[in-house]
Amino acid sequence: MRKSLAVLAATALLLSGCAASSGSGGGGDVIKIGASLPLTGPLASFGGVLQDGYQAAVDEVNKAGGIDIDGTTRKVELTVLDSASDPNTVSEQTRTLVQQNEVAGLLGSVSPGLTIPASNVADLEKVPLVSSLTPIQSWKAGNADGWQYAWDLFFDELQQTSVPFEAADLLDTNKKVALFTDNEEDGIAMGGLWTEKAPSLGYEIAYHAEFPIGTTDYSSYIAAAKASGAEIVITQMIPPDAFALWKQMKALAFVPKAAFCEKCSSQAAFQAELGPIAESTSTSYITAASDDATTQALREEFGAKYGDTVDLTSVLASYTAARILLDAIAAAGSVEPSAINSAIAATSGQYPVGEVTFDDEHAFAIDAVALQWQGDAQVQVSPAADGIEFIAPVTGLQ
Amino acid sequence: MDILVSGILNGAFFATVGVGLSLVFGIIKLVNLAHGELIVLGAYLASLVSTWVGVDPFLALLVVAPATALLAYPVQRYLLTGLLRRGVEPPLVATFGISLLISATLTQLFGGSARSLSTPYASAGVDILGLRLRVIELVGLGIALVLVLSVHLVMKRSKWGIALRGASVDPITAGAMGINVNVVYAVTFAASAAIAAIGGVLIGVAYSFTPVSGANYMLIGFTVVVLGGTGSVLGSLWGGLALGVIQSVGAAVLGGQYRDFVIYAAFIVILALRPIAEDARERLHRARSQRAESSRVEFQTSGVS
Repeated sequence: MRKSLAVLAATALLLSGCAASSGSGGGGDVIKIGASLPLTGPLASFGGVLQDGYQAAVDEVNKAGGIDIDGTTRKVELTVLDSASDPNTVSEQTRTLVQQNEVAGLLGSVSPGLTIPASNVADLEKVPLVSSLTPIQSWKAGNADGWQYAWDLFFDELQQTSVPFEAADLLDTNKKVALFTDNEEDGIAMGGLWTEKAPSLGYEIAYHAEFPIGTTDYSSYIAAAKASGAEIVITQMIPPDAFALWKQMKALAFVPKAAFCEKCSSQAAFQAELGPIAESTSTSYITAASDDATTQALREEFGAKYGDTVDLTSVLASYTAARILLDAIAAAGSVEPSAINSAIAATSGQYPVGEVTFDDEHAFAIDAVALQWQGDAQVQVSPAADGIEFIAPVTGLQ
Repeated sequence: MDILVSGILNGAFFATVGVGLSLVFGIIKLVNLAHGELIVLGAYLASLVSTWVGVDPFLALLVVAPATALLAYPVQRYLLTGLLRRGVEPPLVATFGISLLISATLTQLFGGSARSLSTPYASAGVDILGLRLRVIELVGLGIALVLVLSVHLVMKRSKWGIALRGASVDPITAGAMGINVNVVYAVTFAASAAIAAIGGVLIGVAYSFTPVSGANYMLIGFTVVVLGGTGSVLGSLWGGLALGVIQSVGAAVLGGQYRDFVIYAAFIVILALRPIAEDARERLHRARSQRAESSRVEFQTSGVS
């Protein structure tokens, strides 16, 4: 058996090595940037969105002629490797991008679980990395000494924590909340934050279900949540697990007045897979407030593919991350990592997610708002928008 | 009560996952590392058929189960059976390769995002004896019972089953007696793939699936096989149900975050205790035989005197 395991391990190593080296390499006068993204695995639905935003920024720069480095205009080449949503693979591939592909800069993945390993490699190898779609407090907590070469722009959990409660204030409820959180870094962090913040906002955490990623049977948790009398559900979990939870809530006749599916409903796939069950489920997410020509053009380019959903906002956020890195390379006029890193620190400009300037801890917080699935679109319900009603109870679960 | 019922219903899913794996392990003595991917393949094929033809995913199984079996048959007949003659490792590595191949192909064809099979009863519930139960879980329990009992009856009562068991116990003698062992192995593997496809549809309707979610189900399958007794078809039912209850009760007692820990802790404990239990059973059997033998001698002696 030990021999069998050794053969298996060797095969796995060989295969993972093949996968890692399948990215572009090559030399030539191009500026290389790279990212290890979850194109497969539980977080796969985010990978394509990130890739679209990154590629849009690269295409835009190349279309404009490229970036001037020491008097020579160079095109930009983006290498994307599939991490299969595995943190260890992210570390390994990010190292490959730096050591073998010799990238000048890195772009981040999604969620702390995948972005922190990439950020660690960036700091270790002293190559700048800009990420989006990773909550900034959890990301900051990934390095107690403070990040040196890694940068992040997304919502701040401390602000986002309030969003479901503030949205629920618009409804007539008993202020009792059932939390469902998985054991990912952000699940643990958000579970703690909601529990801590609820009393100060006038809410009671009546029940808190904690479970590992990949859990399929939620019936006992749902029964306990129902028994607790909770009228508001807030969940922090990955999309595949949320599909199962939502189906089971409906089957077990648990119809809260408001249901927030954080991270899990931060994807158009939520509605595409659940269909009518997704109706009037809510989520808190960043806004792409800018209305400049670039943002409009991106909305037009990707609107047909992603519709009026958070996926479109994610594309704008990932475009922003890539554009910040490319602007920093242009500002540095060099592919020298420390020069690019200094240029990122000096970032101050208008991007689709707003006027970006990083704080001392290398983060930029984008305000989160509450959105609700109404038909095929996710519309802003809190802060309240003119003519848009926050529908309650959750009609998809009725 | 609801924790126990929830565990049993969830355990039925586990049993469906484990029975195909158990069949292949019992007959062919092959550890099929691609079993999880065959489950996922079944879910994707059902998704395709039900979308194209507009039928219920379970009705799509009329096409999907034979199709999966047809895909699996030549794999065993022309690849794995030959590798089995070279020892345990070559087919093990081959099935690992097949699992990667299926996963990569599905990713290429369907992308990496999670999917689920849509049916009205996927989110339907029913009240029984004061408990609110999911219709799909009751369907799962029915499928698990029918599958396991059918396979068990085929194995024990049919001529085909005798051939299977013969090929399993002593392939050389079975071959000498006219049983085509290669075909028996291939049919067993194909049947296991068809069962995996049924499991895939069940999982797709009840939960969700991605091209790489097969690995989790394979691990569950292995735990079921070990719990129920390696190669025992009926055991996979008890193993699945026991695993479901262990997980449900464990999660209720220790907390939801320990549901996976409970499963694998049980797996390790059973692996550790099994040799001791088998040794004790062997000793008991020997003691009974000796007692019977001495009683027989005493009887004969008294009869003579």
